[in-house]
Amino acid sequence: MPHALLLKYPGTNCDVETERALSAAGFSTQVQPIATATPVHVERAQLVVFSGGFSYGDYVMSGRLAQLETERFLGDALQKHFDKGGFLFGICNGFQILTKLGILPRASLIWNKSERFECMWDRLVKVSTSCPYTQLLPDEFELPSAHAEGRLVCDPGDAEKYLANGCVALQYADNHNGSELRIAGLQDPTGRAMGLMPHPERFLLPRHHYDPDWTGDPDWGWGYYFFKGAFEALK
Amino acid sequence: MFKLTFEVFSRFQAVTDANKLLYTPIADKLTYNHTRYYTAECEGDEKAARDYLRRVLVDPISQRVQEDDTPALTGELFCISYGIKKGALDLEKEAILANYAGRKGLPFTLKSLTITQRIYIFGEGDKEALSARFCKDVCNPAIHTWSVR
Repeated sequence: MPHALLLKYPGTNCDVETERALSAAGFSTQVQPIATATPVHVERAQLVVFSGGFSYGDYVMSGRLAQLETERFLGDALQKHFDKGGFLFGICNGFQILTKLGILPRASLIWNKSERFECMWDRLVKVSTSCPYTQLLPDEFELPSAHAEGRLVCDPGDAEKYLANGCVALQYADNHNGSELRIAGLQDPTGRAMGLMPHPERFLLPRHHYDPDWTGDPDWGWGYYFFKGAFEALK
Repeated sequence: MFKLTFEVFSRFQAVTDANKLLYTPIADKLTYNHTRYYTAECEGDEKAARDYLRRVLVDPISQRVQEDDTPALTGELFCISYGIKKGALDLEKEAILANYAGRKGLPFTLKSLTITQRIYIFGEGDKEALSARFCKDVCNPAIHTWSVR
């Protein structure tokens, strides 16, 4: 059974839902506070997950202190995990952390164009065909979003490169936060590392949908299929 | 002992309606932008201290930094600088210092760190009356100290 390690920081607040989603997809799971995490925890896992929240209160900027503390406690263990074929998945604040750790393509997530926290459902469009996390999903689907710093920006010309070389996993249909090229999810070229701003763990079951009569899938919400997709790729 | 300053500002954030800072709007057509100003006092290897603090405080993709202690933005009617007062808990500072304290073998000592928010107000009007109005709504005397220039 593939094992998933979920790293938890002060201010992480989506770890319970994310662990539930991982378990539902078939993973054995461990939630580990970063202050007691060691490279051995990473070595045991096939998938390392960074869940949503406001790690370290988003002080300095979202994800920065989590990045620094991860490097302090784990050194290069995550890079080694990735180099050996391991998977990494970042959701919302986890996406912000993953971009700062330098495993995903170079990008940054800054304040939404509205300069406000925005909580809404997003319509998403699948772009990459090589992303294991989205393999089981339809071409378009919806997920809930809730973030203040979700506007993806890159160095000049990088977003176009990412789109051309398959590193854009998902785009927003309606770009509410002002991300470059409507990018909602990024992946590395292999697809093993992925981050996205919307919250798949918040749409695990059909009853989590805002529409009580939603009939998109009889058994699961779309969010489930991110975790199941990773499980299928790893089992 | 040497002092390092970093005024960090967004590459992407444009000036916007200053009424967003106030509880009740005013008729003056003012805009604002904001930066974060960090002052660090250190001993030891200056380059290592600068590199560490830049890495902690600045995002090279989305931000720029002014390190020569001249204001990052110009042309303002006035600028409010405010920060957490001595004795009040500054969680951002504590988080940065905790990371610094947890790093072994750094070739410098971080003796103190001060974090200030700077709000630049642009437009025309009575500087004294307007700055008092903005300070009243932006700053909290229970936890902040502030100055206007």
